Amino acid sequence: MSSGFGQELDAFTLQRARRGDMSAYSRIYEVYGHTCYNLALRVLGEPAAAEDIVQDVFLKVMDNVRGYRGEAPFGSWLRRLVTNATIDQLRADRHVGNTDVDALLAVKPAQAIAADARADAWSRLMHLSPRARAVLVLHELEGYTHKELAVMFGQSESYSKSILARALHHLGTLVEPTVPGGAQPCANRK
Amino acid sequence: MREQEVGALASARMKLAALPEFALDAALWPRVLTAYQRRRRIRNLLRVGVGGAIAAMLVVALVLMPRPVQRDATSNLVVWQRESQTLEREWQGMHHNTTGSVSARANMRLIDRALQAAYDRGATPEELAPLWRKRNAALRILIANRHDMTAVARI
Repeated sequence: MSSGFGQELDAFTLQRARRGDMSAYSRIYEVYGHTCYNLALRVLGEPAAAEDIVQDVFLKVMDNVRGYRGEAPFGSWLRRLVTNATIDQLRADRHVGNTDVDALLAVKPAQAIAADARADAWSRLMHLSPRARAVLVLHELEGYTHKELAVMFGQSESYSKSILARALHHLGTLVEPTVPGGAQPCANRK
Repeated sequence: MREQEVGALASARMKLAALPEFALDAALWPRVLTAYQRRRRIRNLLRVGVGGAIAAMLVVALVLMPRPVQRDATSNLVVWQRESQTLEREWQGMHHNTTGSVSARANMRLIDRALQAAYDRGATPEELAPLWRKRNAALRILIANRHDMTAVARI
């Protein structure tokens, strides 16, 4: 695993969490909270919505960690919770029902793009629709397969492949508008 | 054209690799804990409420259920009947040349008649039990009288 979900959780913390130990929950949050937040934020693009996802997911962890059997690494289990919650949020916002690939990949009106490579990358990602961002982030950064994405979004694998190819193309070729000194996206969160 | 595509893909992957990591708001974890504790309180209240409702239903069921009361009366009746049988055997086993108190024997006959009438009309165990209890008391008096009369005869 390339992301922070690949970090291992020690058996002692897990054991304490299963017994309902609050300090163990706090430790899990320390290890994975930041990673959960960034996954949700990259897909949803809104800090408040991403925080809500983190809150909901950790409440679920506290309720369900006793049922976690350890068949998959803890990080994978948690990543799945975040992914499902994020996709549910997209559905609630009606971004997932849209099956028009062109509409999904329609580039938003030009925004200011900062010169910094990280801010540039973020701004380019935010130009994509939430659905295209979700496919891109989940496939390229979180390692989900097209088969898994097809199930998650209730679409075919070819649909997921098509969105990914075009999202990558948009991300790689987007013409930068020449707005000098533009604002950094989500600068308050950096 | 192909080179352009490959270049775009490489550029896209570079952009993804360069994505910034944003820090979490420090106030989020206390918010999560507050929400968790609030949920636990609500669940506990619900649990207590549901438990209380079940307990109340059980109490109502116990109060309204006639069967346990009937079972008590029936078991009492059986006890009185057994006792009556034992007393009767004791009384029959005593010397019959002694006469008991006339009023005690008359009382005994009255009780036996009342018992028979009760059985004839299909009386409940609650109605029968006191009659058997009275019969046992009458039998005890008869036995006591016979003991007294035997003692007087020996003197």
